[in-house]
Amino acid sequence: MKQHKTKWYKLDTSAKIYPALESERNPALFRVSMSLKKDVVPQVLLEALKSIKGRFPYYNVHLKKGLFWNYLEQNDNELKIWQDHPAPCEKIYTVLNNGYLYKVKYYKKKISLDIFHVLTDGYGAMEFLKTLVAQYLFLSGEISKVQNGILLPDEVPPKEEEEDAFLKVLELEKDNKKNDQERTLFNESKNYQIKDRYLPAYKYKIITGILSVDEMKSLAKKYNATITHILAALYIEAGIYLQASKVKDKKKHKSVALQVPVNMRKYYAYNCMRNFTLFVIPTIDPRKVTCFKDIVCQVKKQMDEQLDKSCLLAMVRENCALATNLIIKHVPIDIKNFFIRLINNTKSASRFVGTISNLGVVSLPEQMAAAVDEVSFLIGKSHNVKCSCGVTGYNNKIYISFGRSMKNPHIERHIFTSLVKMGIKVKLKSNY
Amino acid sequence: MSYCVQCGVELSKYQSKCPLCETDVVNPNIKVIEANSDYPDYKVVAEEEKKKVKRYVTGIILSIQVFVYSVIVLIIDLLVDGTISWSIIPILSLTLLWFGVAYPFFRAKNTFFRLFTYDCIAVMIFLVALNYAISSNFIWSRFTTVSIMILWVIIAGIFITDRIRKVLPVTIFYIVCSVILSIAMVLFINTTMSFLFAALPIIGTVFILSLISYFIYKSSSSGVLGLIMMVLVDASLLCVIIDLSLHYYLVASLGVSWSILVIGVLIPAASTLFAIKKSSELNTIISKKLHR
Repeated sequence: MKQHKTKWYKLDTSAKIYPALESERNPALFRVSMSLKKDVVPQVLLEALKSIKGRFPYYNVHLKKGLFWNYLEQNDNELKIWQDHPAPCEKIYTVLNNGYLYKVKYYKKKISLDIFHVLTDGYGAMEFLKTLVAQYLFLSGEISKVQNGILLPDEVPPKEEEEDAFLKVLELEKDNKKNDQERTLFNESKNYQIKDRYLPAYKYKIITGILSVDEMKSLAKKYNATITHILAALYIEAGIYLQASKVKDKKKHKSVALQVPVNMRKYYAYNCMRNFTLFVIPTIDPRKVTCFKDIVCQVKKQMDEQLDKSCLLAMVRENCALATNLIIKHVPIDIKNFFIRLINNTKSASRFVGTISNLGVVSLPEQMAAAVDEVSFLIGKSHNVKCSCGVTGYNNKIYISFGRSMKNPHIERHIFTSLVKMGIKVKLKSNY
Repeated sequence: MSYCVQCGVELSKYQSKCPLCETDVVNPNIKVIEANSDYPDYKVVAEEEKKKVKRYVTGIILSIQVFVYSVIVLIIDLLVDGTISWSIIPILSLTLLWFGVAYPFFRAKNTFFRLFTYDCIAVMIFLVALNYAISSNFIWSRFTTVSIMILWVIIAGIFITDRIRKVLPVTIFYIVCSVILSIAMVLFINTTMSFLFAALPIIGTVFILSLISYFIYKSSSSGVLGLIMMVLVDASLLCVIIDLSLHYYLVASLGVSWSILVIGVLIPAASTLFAIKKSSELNTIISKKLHR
């Protein structure tokens, strides 16, 4: 008889919706990549992946269905690595992937990790990739040992890493009075959404812009803002210009909103390797801004307000409210999934012009940094958000990767040409 | 290195066009465009010049042929008999032929299931019209029509199962079709309403048992043993309901007869399986599947 001693994990609060939303046009995954200085050897990469499997047991799982919620169960199947695909972030068919919810891909000098959002967010994925690449470099003899700053493959993962940090925050803040600011995930106002033809489902166009960190910092300083604020403002400005070109009557112009994920680990010091991000949504009314500086000021103001502790707590409570609601908890999962999809397609996700996610500076130990050329982060395709942007910094460079499932590169063109006009040198890479 | 003259961005060595504005790269210093070192290229598939099959013209030609034959038949009928009499039958046949052969040429996309559905509808209409043309009533065509509907339901279920691959929609499809067919049989085949009162409880029981079984099976990973147990229990309950319904339909009173024998065999079998299955490991499985 089968031994039912396999470990299992509940989905964390944010992850509960992703199995319902997953489809070919909306695979709910993202990619983190590192480009090395030498070509990747697949056999060594596979060995490296196998050797770090025990360090990340919460990523090496199947997704299973329960009566009320999905859950993750330990996966003991053989690991696989894949050759990269021309259109990254394609849906992961677990049947072909031995049940795993992530794929490690390689192409020439690049190692990429496509990971389902059910498992983790950008921070967790990057830690996983760092460990994988470090182990790969160690096994191929390019570094003498896996150094500090990288999770060691042999160590036992602490319990804290697999816990749901949102519930811990709720527990921590339960004595806090509920005078949080009102915020709703379901924005009632109708914001501008880009209308353009979709590419075929198997295509996903990527453009990566490489810029100098110093140049961007000096630009940001000029506007008294951060790099994220500048990029978010440029993104919104692109949306405003696009709307102006399509809708001639200014009175009919709608607000332009942008989704900006925020790493909650900066605010609550939990070493959680599952999902622990929330979203801030700067929204700009085009009729109330006249120049780029206005947009930057408004974006900065709104983001600072929304990142205030009481507002963050309200977001955490709201995020957890649905999953902890007594009635919703006892509704069968198929009914829940139906409503999650319905709400996602009508109210929540269809109100943004895009998403911009900044993973921040990726720092690697010295030996490893000598072997790694580039680090990038790409958000996967989404049916509702036609264009998204992932930002990372490494080795004094910023990598801004746009992925779009629509025909025209409106947003990318505006952002990169604006940066060039502001005196920033931009180098482009693309998959087409 | 190359730059886009429109956008001002630096381009990679493998780019022959600017990805932002699609302006061609013209750099006399670059002789050969390198292969993309960041992403693999789509395989270059030589675009075959699609032979434009003039579907529409073929459809027109076939339609004209069918029309001409129909007209010839009609003229002969008029010349010989002076009225339209026997020509209705070949004209109906030619119409069916047109629908089956020529009509698909006017549609851009033809799938097997779609063509099958249209052909079923065409054959039903043809048989009804033929019945009326020959006998001025609908006596025998009712049976053929209902038979074709049953055939369509079975084939459609296979296609839907293949497409959707989920138990619930397929079950709902068969249940709805069963109800419709039962009503159709009452209306077309002149069965009494009591037939419906016998059929509907059975259909309803199948539906409810399917739903309950589906949720129970999905919620507990009892494996093959659990599935068999459930099938046995469902079969027992269904047999009881069928026995009761048929007894009422035939004898106008409720009672059970043969279903007792069935229960007497199936329920002990299910209990045996349950006893075998029962173990402490089940607790772990249930806690996984039923966690909230």
